[in-house]
Amino acid sequence: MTAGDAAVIVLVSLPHAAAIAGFVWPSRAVTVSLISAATLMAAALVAMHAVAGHGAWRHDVGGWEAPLGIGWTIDGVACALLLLTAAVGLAGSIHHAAARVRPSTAAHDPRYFWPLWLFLWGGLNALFVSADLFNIFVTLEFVTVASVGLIALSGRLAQAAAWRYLLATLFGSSLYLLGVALIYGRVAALDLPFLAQALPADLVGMTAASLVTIGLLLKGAVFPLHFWLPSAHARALPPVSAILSGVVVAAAFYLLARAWLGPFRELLTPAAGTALGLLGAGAVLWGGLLALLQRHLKRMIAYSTVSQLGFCMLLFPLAAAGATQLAWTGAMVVLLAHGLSKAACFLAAGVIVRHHRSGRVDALGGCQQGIGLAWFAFALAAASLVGLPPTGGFVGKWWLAQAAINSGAYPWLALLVAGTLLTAAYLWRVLEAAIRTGPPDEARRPAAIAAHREGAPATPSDRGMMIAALGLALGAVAVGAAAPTLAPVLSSAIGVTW
Amino acid sequence: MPALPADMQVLLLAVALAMPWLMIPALAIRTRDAGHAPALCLAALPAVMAAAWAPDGTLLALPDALGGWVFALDATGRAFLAPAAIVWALAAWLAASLAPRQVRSPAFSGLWLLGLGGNFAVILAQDLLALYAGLALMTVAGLGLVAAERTMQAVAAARVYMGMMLVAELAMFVAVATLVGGGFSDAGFDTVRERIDGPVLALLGIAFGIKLGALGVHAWLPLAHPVAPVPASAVLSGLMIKSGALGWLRLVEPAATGDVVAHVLLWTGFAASLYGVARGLHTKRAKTLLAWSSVSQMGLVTMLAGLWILPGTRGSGLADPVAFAIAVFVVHHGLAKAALFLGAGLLERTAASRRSLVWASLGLPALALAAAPGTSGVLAKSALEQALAASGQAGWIVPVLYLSGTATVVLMARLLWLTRSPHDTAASSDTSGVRGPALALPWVAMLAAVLVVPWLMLGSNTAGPTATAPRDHAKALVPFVLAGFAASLTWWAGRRVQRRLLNARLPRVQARAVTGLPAPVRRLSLHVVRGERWLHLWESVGLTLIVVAAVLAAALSLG
Repeated sequence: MTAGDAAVIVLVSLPHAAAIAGFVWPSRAVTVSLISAATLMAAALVAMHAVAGHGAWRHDVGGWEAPLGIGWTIDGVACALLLLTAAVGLAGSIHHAAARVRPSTAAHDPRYFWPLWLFLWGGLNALFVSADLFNIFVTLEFVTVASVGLIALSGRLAQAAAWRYLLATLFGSSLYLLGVALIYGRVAALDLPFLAQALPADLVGMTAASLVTIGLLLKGAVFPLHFWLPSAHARALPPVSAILSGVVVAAAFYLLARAWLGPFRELLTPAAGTALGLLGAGAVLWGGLLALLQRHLKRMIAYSTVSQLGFCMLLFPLAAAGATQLAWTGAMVVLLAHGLSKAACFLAAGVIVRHHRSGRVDALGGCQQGIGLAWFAFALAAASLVGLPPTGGFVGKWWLAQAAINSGAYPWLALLVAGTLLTAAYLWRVLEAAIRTGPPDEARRPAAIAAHREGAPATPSDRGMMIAALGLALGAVAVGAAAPTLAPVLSSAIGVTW
Repeated sequence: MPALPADMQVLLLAVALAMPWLMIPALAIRTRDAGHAPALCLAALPAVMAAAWAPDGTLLALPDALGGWVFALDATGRAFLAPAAIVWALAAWLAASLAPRQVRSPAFSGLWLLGLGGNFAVILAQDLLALYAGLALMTVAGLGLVAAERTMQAVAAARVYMGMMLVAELAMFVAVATLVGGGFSDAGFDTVRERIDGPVLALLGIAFGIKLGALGVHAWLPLAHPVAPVPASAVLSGLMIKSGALGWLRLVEPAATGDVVAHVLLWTGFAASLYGVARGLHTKRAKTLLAWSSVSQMGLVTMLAGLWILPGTRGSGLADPVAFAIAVFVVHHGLAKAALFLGAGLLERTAASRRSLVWASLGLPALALAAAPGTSGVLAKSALEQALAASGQAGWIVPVLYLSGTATVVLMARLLWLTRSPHDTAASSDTSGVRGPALALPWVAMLAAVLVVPWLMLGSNTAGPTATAPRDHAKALVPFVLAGFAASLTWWAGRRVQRRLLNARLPRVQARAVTGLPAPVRRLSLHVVRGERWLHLWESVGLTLIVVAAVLAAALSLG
């Protein structure tokens, strides 16, 4: 067994084992989780190193080959997303562990956070390496159950949102499963690389593709099916929001991209690509407008997720127009940079909202003493979301723009520009609020809060949370710096037809 | 000047480029240190040395791992680098007393270094991508510097700055993405220049015009420059706005387009040179007046940008009279305007006993900007005239230029009049932290730079057009005579008329408050919110699902 194989086995099995351990010994949960988080990060790095060194490979679990056994494909894209999960997971773990150091919040530490958190992490890891449509369904359900549980942890208000999320995502899963059943009935195989050659573009194939796509669109909260996302992501705990917005939604897009450029490649005609692209355009503009109109910081960030995922959807029209390679790397880099920066935004927002005791955007002004680092992380993440040059967001948009220019698809370039304007507008609103020396209604606030605002110095707990956010934001910048090495890695994708 | 060995030259260039970036982590480690000003000053010093000692053609090629970018110092670059390095260094030195609160904050220091690093990268870049990245970093740093005071005006100005700069960035992004291929290589200026066509030129024009504050897209400039802390205003107004001109020089070839664009630029530039003065006269704040003066002076640079694209064979490098004139303007205006901003800030913080001395010394850069005989202004003016003559456009413009020269004289007189007594400045009572030698030394150095550096660098340009003759200095007196005549005329017409002329209130361009959204926008947002609520209903979810499915099915069956 090579180091890469071992790393992948650790990545899939360790989170589940740790989740069980944390459930059985709640008093040790924090220690167990932090240690496994660090181990998972190391394992993801080892896997990435192996892919970058020897190229992609296939791992047949237990030595059973497809079609009987379950196959894992470990390629560049999968490893990049494993690394993203590890980064967000590690930062989220540190953030949550640091938050409960503070005596006032330790009492409210939800009992089942750590098991659910690790369970979600394990599900995501398994999802990214799975090469089998049914296996993917199972991992999607893991992710769903854990996510719903995590959202519901943060109290009464969140339970309604969790409930909506559960219904929406379960419906999405059923549609997906229906599509998978059709495919299995047609070609008696579920293995993605195999299907990439075998799935015919007939009526059954089309129906299956539509069902799978709609199911994943629901799970990925692509406009106009994003109805569940804003409340769910805005009401959860900061690390939960971070992983949901940064990774879980991205996982749905990842599957969509693998499916359409793999088994459904024949079906990706200009018309189909345009239809998916129009959904993306709707997401970019509608999500951006709504983000601009939100009054609460976390809701604004949640709507920004809807908008940013729309940029990734440009992959389909641009690939259909012939610029597959550029569009693929561009969309994947946008996905990675968005995951890191969005998670950084949510983690920073957690600190910021706690400091100001209000999540309203116009109440975020005034004294920022002690949370300067959080604002720095937020600004850095915002720079990546907008796409300023050395950041990952810039590189992703750059490649998408190149794909649009090369294939002569200028309307998509215009969308890219319009979406960037909207992104800058809503992020600037938050930064502007932070610059203001005080909220306009300062006079009406209780004196106690005003006193608190006058410079509570950063506690070690705050510092831990802010460093977690800053690490992710720096990661988003690093994605841009690593662009030249990242391009060949992301192009290594088993079962994707260029 | 001693000749450095070749390795040392390259090393000097590398240190000059890398110094600000190396200082940023250093500042992050010592965040609570009050003594940031010396560190900030130190960050620009290698660049001063590079501008002085590294010869033309010093080339620094980064390894491929760092993007493979190429940086080099050439004659054009030196004209931008010398004033930039001097002003960044001296403004940082003065910052400790001019903006003590800001210098203590790590955020301000970080932004300062970011702007500094971006500015040097822009100047030395020989590669479109490096230029673009440097411009973007510098713009972001500028945003932070504008907003640093955190007042309502600063926030409003920062909003306008952000909006307009974003448009510039996006125009630049599309232009760069079109010019450079899919990879990040092959973006040298020579390769890229040949690929520029009409639409790309228009995009570049928008981007550089906004950065330069050309008339029509200048709205951000008079809002943003006055609200920044004084040292930041100096670098914003003296240095950062010049990057638009540099980009134009680097990327756009002479004769890239027909005469029409050139003449449009010529006329806009001329109009801006008068309009800026007119608006400057109607303000009572010294810093706002200086910002409007920048609009006026950038109008002259816009004229030169127009001349630059006129067809015609001229010299290469600074031997070209137009490029030479732009270089002179960059050095002259960069130093003089920075000195004026710093001086105006200095006046606000000087104790009453020494105030008149500082006030008198402020007259020096004011005279330079007004092109008094013997100052660098004369050099700039004669370079402009020679550029016009070389492009065959001298006919009508040269006489009219006296008008703009006279207007500048009046504007500078107004500046000195406004700052003559302390009562118009709010912060005059706060004279804490102002000590004699600590302030005097950098201020005297700044004044000396204004007086000497332009002549040293460009006064005896052997390669280029011959510079000034005694006759030019004599001619430079004409605007002063005209201004004096105009002043006595208004005096004669009575103080009441004079007051009305100078203090009349034009409708002010103020940034709109957030709440003051126009009604259609508010109505639209209401509809958007209502639509979103509709999308959240379960009934609508079913409907949208069906619609999406239908769209997908239709698209699939179409294909």
